[in-house]
Amino acid sequence: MCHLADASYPLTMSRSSKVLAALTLVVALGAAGCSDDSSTTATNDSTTTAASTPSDTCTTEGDITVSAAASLTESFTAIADDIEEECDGADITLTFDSSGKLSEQILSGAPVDVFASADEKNMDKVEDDQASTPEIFAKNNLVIVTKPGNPEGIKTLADLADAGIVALCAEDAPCGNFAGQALESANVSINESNVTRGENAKATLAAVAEGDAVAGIVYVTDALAAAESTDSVEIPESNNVIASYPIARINGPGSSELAQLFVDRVLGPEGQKHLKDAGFLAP
Amino acid sequence: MSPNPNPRAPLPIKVLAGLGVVLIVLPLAGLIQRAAWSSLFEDLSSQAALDALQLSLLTSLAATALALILGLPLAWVLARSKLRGRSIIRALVLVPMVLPPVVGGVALLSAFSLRSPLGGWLHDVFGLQLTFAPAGVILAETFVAMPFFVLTVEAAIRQSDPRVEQIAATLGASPAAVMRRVTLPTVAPAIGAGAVLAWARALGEFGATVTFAGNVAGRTRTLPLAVYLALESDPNAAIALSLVLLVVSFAVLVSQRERWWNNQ
Amino acid sequence: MSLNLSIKKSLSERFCLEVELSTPPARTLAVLGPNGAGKSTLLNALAGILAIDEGCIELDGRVLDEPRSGTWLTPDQRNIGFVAQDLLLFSHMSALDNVAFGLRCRGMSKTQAATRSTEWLNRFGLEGLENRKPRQLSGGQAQRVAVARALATDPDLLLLDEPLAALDVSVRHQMRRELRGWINEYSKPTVVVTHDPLDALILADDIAVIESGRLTQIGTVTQVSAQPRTPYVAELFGTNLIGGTANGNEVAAGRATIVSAESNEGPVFVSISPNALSLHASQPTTSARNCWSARVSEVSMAGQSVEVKVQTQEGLDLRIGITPAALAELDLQPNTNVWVTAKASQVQVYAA
Repeated sequence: MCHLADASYPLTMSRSSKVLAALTLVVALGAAGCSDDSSTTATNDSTTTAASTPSDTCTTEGDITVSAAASLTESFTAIADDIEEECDGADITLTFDSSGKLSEQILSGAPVDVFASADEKNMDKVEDDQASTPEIFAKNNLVIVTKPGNPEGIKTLADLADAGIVALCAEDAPCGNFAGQALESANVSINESNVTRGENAKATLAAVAEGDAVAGIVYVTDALAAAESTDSVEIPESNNVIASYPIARINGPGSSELAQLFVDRVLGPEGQKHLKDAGFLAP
Repeated sequence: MSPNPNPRAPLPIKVLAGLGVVLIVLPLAGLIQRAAWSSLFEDLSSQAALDALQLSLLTSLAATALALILGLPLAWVLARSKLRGRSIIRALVLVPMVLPPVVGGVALLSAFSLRSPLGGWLHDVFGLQLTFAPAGVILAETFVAMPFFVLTVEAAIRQSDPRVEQIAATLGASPAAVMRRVTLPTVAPAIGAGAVLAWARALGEFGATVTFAGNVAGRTRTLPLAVYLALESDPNAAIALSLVLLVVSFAVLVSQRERWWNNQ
Repeated sequence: MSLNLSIKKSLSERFCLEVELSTPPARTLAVLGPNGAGKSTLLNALAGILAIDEGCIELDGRVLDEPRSGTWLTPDQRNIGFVAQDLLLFSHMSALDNVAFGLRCRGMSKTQAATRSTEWLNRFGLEGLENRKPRQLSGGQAQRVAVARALATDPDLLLLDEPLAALDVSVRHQMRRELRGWINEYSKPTVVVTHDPLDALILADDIAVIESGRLTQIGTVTQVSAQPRTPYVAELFGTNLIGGTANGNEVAAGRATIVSAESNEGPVFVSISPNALSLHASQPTTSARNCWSARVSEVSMAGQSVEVKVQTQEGLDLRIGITPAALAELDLQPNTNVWVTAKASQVQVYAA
């Protein structure tokens, strides 16, 4: 056996690692619980559908993963909920992040069946993985968000140059790219040491809504979703950048039928209504 | 058959143990395999990388110092005092070890952002703003790293016999002298180990930092943040920076190997 | 220099130490008592590790602890040497630095403290071990370092807590003799806490017995060992202790009568050494004034001799020491009937 002085450390570590292990277990169980839930309901439902209920209109079933730009969080969640409600056997997993991150993931082989990007550049990056021709389904504008009540009195893009810390998306995220274009067209340059970079539109917004960033540039849709915790200042049309959102099926492991249904829904009137509610412009 | 002092593990145990190793080693090997060795030096000597490296070193060392200054007395109190509710305090202090760092960041925001009473007061009275400032990074890193230090040192103090300190006192040592000449030297190895652990944890800190201190080039963009940001724009640089973190982590563990696998 | 104390210290609702005693100058007091009697509490109170609740501790006219007047000296203000049972050497320091620690705390320069400590180590036969860490020392060597460390500061009082308990039996005798020598050279009061009567007999001048937090007997080593006043002390020193009432040469103890050479009156203790009792297989014809019929209850070996426990018909429990040869001759088993005799001159009677 070892002597006491040395024995002390692993002893306490093992206690803490037990806690860690327990916690990991809880998390894992939680996660397992979730996926179990959906998969069991999916299988249960498919058997019931096959056996008894020749359900109503929708018979599409299967699992798909949809990767969408973070700004689509609210509208796509609503669309996916609609489909899962109508189609008993459908299970849709949604992933939201910056389009740059998502295209990178698809390129490195992530199992994705539908990709909705906030710009055409990132859609083009995954050209080889596309299973359908990309179609523009929505457009979005940029807007300046400020603290509630706009305490710094920000009126134009130029005011951002010396306002303090400004939150922008990472340069490779579409919202960061577009914000850069907008600032450039307005001839405004913000010192990079006054810029905090959010990894996507939502994180950028959070730096203003929750953190101490004075202002930020995000999509109109994001500002609308956070209207309670931020104010927004319009960017004049001349300097604004219209973001076009393309959607396409991707060669993924999921049901291509369900993937097509999802794409159709986004382009169709029901999906467009959700997008409009979220503040998107029609394509 | 000759007697084997080491009992042979059943096959399923060997297989699972092997898989466990693979699970950890494979991604690390992938990282090394993906590295663009030829441009490694260039990737690491870009201004952005150097800024992140410098900031990370500075803030992680400052966080370690802070964890030491505050954590040592804390460890002593937890190990020695008869304070009521001591176990509750210990649990609270160790919470950051198991809390998702992002949650830690949100918690720090609610305590120190300009809109919080304390953060607002600090700003109004001292002109001090922690968010988007290196000081905020230090605070976030201390928040997540200090528990490692406290846990390590508290265990060591708990192990050391308080009667040795009493003997020192009977020999004429004042309480301060007892602390300086007996208590601290006795737990010195643990202080070193705790500081190294805390430093490594601070160096790798991401979630609390990005949430609380933001992601400002040169001011709060530490190594892990730079890695995350560069992942799309400059994957080679991201991997080069990741390698730096990997080497540091490995070095830390090797330096502490006697503490981890001490019964060899 | 002398130590006077009168202390009351309760450690829990059930245990309270209440002791009054004083040691004459330069005498060594052994504190004997069963486990949990309060011996260590007493030492800790003297060292200043524990504060007493009531009373006073006075060393050479200096008050160390007196709650009533609010006097309290911390351990570092008391100038006391303490050798703990498990030595508690500073594990991160060399033997030399251990001894030098107290001197350095008193402001002595590093070189001077080192010179002085080397002298101490040499005196204790530890030449060449100056740079050893405690874990590199043998039990006996570590013991010497611990004592040297305590004595190096020239304390006004030396406290030894079970000083030989941690040692192997093989070195314990040697160390006990050495310790006796060091204590003799040290010309100030010493308190040795022990549960080994041999320690008390060899190291101490006086013995104080503490049982359940109370002082039950105090006196010179000779007095206490020859005239025990509690069953614990009698057991410790291996004598037979019987309480009774004296009337001239006879002491009535229950149904038994014990005859002594001296004449006494009133409540007394009777002490008879096990070796003063003789065992006989049949009723002896003897000049011994005490002769009892008894039954053997237990036979055991104690060192080189045999101890036989008997109970007389009158109800006296006695232990008797005999030689192994006598045991073989008498063929003693539990329940064997025997006769026990004792000369009146071997019976010690003293007032209770």
